[in-house]
Amino acid sequence: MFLGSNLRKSWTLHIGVIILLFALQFILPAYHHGNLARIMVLACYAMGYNILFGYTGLLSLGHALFFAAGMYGMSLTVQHLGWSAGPALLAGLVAGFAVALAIGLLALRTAGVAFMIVTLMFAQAGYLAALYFGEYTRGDEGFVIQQSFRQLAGVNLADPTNRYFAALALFAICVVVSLRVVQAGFGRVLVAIRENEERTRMLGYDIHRHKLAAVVLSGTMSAAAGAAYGLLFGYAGATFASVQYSIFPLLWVLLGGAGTILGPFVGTLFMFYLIDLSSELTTAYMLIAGFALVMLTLFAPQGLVGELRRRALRWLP
Amino acid sequence: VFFTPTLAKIIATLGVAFVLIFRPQGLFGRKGL
Repeated sequence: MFLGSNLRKSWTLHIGVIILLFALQFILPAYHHGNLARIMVLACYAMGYNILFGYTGLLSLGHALFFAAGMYGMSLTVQHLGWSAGPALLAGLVAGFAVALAIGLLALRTAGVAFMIVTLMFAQAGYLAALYFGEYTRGDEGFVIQQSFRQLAGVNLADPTNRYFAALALFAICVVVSLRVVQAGFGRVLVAIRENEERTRMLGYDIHRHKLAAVVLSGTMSAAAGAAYGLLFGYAGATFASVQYSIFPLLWVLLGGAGTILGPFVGTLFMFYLIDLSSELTTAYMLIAGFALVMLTLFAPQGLVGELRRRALRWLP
Repeated sequence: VFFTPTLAKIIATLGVAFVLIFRPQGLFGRKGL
């Protein structure tokens, strides 16, 4: 009964957030409207990262590789093979899935610090590969995806309203998938691995298989965000494969709250607007952002949503 | 020049990554020590 009521509360909250975001579309001014669409897509990236970092306890420093795999899987098929948006999105997902499976199989042979370094190195190799094949990817400069290709089922994704709804749809899918995963037995085993790997192994769970599934799920979700980002904002470039884009989701998740469903979204929103607002005031905006990050780490080490869960809402998933 | 600098970096990065994966005890380290 108690568990059932918590389950109901958490679904109500998350669906409420999605409805709120839907309603915001009608009242937000154009500038914030565009920002929020971007934040929702990036939050999906962070949610993917959170499955691996927040719930499984595996710190990857190479998630930009998955984001870029999705982005290039989508954009290169559009650009060079002339695919339409639907199959191209699927190509992005498949690319992300395949890369995540390969990286998972290799990197999970290591643990701890070696896992971080190996993922970082693979991502770096991916970034360099994007530069190396500059003939197709146009390297750092990137390329614009023509507006005529950005049509999904007859809907023009270049239009700000459609773009917002597409971003919201992706966000809603990611929230529901994350919630379902966390509430299912699979998600509980992931948390058990995070808390005590040896004990979970003793209980008879196949640790390697669960970790591999977590890497693949996390990578595919990140790739979905990458593919959607390219399609919605009409640009693909090697910057998205750089180490900076591997650090971003870690920061967003840490700020919002690792191991919470809404934490990645709150963290992305907070960081995006922190940089946006502080850069209006001063050119040294990174100083303000850095100071805020240090303060948050000192006084809310579990992140914003994590702190909320600790203080008031114990039932938050 | 056999490789472009970018290709050389890719090969070097992957080389080190594979050492960490397949020889976690180091190139000349022995298992179980």
